Amino acid sequence: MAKIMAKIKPSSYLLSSKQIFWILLSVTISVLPHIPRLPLWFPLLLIGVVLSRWLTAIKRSKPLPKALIVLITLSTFITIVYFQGFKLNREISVTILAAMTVLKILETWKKRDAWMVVTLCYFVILTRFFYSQDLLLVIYLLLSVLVITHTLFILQHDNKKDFLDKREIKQTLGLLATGLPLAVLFFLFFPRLGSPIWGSPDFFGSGKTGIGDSMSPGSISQLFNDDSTAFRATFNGNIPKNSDLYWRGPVLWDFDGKTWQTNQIQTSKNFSNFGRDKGTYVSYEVELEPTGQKYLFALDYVNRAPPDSTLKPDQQLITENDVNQLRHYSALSQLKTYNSNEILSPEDFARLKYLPPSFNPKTKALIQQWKRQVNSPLALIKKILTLFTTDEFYYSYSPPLLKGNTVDQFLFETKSGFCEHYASAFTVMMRAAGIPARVVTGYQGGILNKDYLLVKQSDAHAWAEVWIYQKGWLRVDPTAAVSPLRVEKGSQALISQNSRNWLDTSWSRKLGERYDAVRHNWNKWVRQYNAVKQKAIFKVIGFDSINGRSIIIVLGTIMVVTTLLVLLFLYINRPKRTESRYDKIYKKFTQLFVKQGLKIEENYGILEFSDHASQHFPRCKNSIHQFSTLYLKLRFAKTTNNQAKLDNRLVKIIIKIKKELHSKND
Amino acid sequence: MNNQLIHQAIDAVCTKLFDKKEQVEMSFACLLAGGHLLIEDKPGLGKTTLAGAISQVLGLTFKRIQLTSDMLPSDVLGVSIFQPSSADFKFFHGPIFTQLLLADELNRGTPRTQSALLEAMAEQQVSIDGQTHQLPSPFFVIATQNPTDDAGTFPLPDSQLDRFMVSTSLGYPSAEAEKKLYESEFLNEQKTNLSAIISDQQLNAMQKTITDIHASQEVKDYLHSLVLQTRDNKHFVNGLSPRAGLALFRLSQALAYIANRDFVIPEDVKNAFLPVASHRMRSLTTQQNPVFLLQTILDETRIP
Repeated sequence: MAKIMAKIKPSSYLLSSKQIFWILLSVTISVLPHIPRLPLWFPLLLIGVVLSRWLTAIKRSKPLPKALIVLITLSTFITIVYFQGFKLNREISVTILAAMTVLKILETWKKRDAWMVVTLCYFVILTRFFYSQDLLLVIYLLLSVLVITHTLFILQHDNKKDFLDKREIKQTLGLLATGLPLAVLFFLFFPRLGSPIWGSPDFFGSGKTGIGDSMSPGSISQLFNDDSTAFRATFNGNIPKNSDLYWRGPVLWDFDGKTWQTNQIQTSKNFSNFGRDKGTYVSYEVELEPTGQKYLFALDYVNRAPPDSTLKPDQQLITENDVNQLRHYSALSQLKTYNSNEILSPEDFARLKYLPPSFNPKTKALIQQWKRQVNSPLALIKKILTLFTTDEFYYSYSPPLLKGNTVDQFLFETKSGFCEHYASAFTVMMRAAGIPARVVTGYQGGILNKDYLLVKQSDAHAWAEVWIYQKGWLRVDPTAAVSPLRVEKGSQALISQNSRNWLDTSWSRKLGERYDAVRHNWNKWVRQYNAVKQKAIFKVIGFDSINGRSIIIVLGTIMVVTTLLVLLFLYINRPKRTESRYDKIYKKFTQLFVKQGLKIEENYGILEFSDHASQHFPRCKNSIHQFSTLYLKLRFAKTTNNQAKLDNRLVKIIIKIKKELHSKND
Repeated sequence: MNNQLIHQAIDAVCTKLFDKKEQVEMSFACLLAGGHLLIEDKPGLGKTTLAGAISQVLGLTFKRIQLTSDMLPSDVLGVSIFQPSSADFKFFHGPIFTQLLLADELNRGTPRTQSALLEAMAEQQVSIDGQTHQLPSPFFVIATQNPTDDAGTFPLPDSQLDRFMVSTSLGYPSAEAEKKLYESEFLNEQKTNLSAIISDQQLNAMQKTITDIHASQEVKDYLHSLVLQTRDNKHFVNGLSPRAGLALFRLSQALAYIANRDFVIPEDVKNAFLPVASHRMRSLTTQQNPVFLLQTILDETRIP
């Protein structure tokens, strides 16, 4: 029994398997979101290191030889430099940070190393923000911060054996919750830079679909299945009716028989004719999700280009740089079907009438025949639209594939198509009649989600513009002739009529919209919090500008108040034990010996302590005995009358012991 | 306070059992607190010697039973036998009718026999054939138990372990003490009986004194916090019962008495904790020794 009772405490600096488990989890969870942009060998390195360290932990086997660790580290470093080049940029820094954090596991044997690795994890997970600040990532980050902080906690208190102990997690959550108000205050008041120092996050979704600068049959109908958000619009005032919501995107001029392209060198002039035509004005703000392209979307027709963008003569908004991160802009538009803001140059005029010579002969023949029957372009437009309405044309989001003379095939054989088929066919027919026309792509409609208009990729649309002499550009949407529902009620109305796949239910769409509303708020309140808004907050609390003085005052006040609060909290929750005068006397007594170099166990009772002290200081044996006997009597026996007198005696004994201790020392 | 007597008794027992003063004191404390004693140890370490010596110095009648797997309850309690001469049943008292009973290798007995014995321990009486026979007073049982992983044993159920106030183990003697055993004069000395030092009345009086020993609120708080921690600790199957808590309290009082104090100090509780708790607790996993866990509780509870 004595053997068992002997204290078996693990050496305090070695790591238990539970601690190692949490360290490995921290590293894995912080490196994981980087994996897609890290080199291909990285997951192998991670798995190998984590497995090997875990095996050494549970099997208590020998660690890898030092030479091997050095070799692995060096070769990793060389591999990174060889493949990514020796540059000091963001990519290589993040790769090296992640790789070295993972490799550090191999030599994590003591707590000191463990703290270093775990602290590094905070940095690793933070660097993920260089690339994206999306809500999902933030949720993931919060989770990993919980794990990493919990690991720090486990490193300090490794009491419970269970790897996942509810009470321990609770304590960690408590810790994080305590830090939260301070984090919020620092978010609000820490000086914000105008733009991120690390440059803009990359648009990280080359496989992502969206409206591009070209259009061929099928390119828009495939977007119909994509429920991801294209952009969000918040209107100042009422939201216009669905059939007025034509969000203008790339304008397509050039047709090669199959694909429509934008015109990069427009020679026409932009002539602001804003306000002279009829139409209601709407002002709104757009929050555009990253597209990786230069186009901004605005309602037809926009007044002026927002900052950092230009309005091309064909009324297309273009930014200087690709939209690689969430982009905000506000715009003022006038809702109208005619647009006289463009003065066409002769070159552009010719270009807008051009058709590839040998393509679509049947269509050309039909139009030549019709041209003789009507007397004005408007009448021709009407005739074509009537054809779409009366003949057996169908609106379909999975139309048959077209090859060769796409328009001929569509008009005379398949008669089934999505908006791009109709817009393309219509424009070709116009051009065949010698009338300038072009295709406009963008989005049409959107759904009201809470207080904003949510425009999804599935709202992508294409329509046509026809040049009417002396009037300007007339918007003609042939889709409206085939499927009025699409334009009047929006694509959502179509979707709810026939679901696109088994996952597509009104319930799942609602859920997606709810999530989008949360993201919208996240963007609005957190991501868009910038130096300008910070200045407004500083103004509210009485500072006209953000300068060194105001920052120091505000941050200093926060620090002082926080410190005071912490002190107050500690004072209120101070250990509730009655530190009686005997405790103090006893402390004095023990301190006498501690000062002389006596080491004591934490939980000695007084008798144990006295024995211990007597052994080391035999000269004081009698006094120690006197003290302990009297002390115990005073503290634990029934109270006696001459308590005060005895208390004094206790103090006297202490003085005596002190003398005895020092007499020998001299 | 005449605790002089108890120290004489302890010293006398120690002449037979060298080097085991701690355990002897604990055994006396247990008897003074009115509890039964369980000695868990391997054979040949002096359990019987201890029990015998205690009975001698206390002037108690002493009997010893060796439990085996074919023993019946009647072998312990006694049996009624028909007397042709008087045409009547006569009850023949079993070995249990004694003041101090040494039940050797308790866990070798079948559960039936064990429970017969343990019932008697709890009730201080034996009921056979509708007749109740009072057991003598004072009545102590010193039981010994082999480590349960030995073959052919029936581990005692928790409920019966709870009847023992204290468990202790003797362990191997020190080198000098063991060598002393080999000497011839010691052998002779060992054979001589000790004279009785404490009478029945004196023992009863001591037991009475012990229940009056003062414990301050601080000490009670400390004791209770220890008990509570055995209940809160999720590595144990169960916590200490209130009966065990009371046993801890009584044993602490008895230890204070032996230390010649009329008040309990926290260290009495600390010393009493393992002997009272260790046989009552079982840990959930076999890897964890309950004694180690209890020691951790002791280490982590601030002693006032």
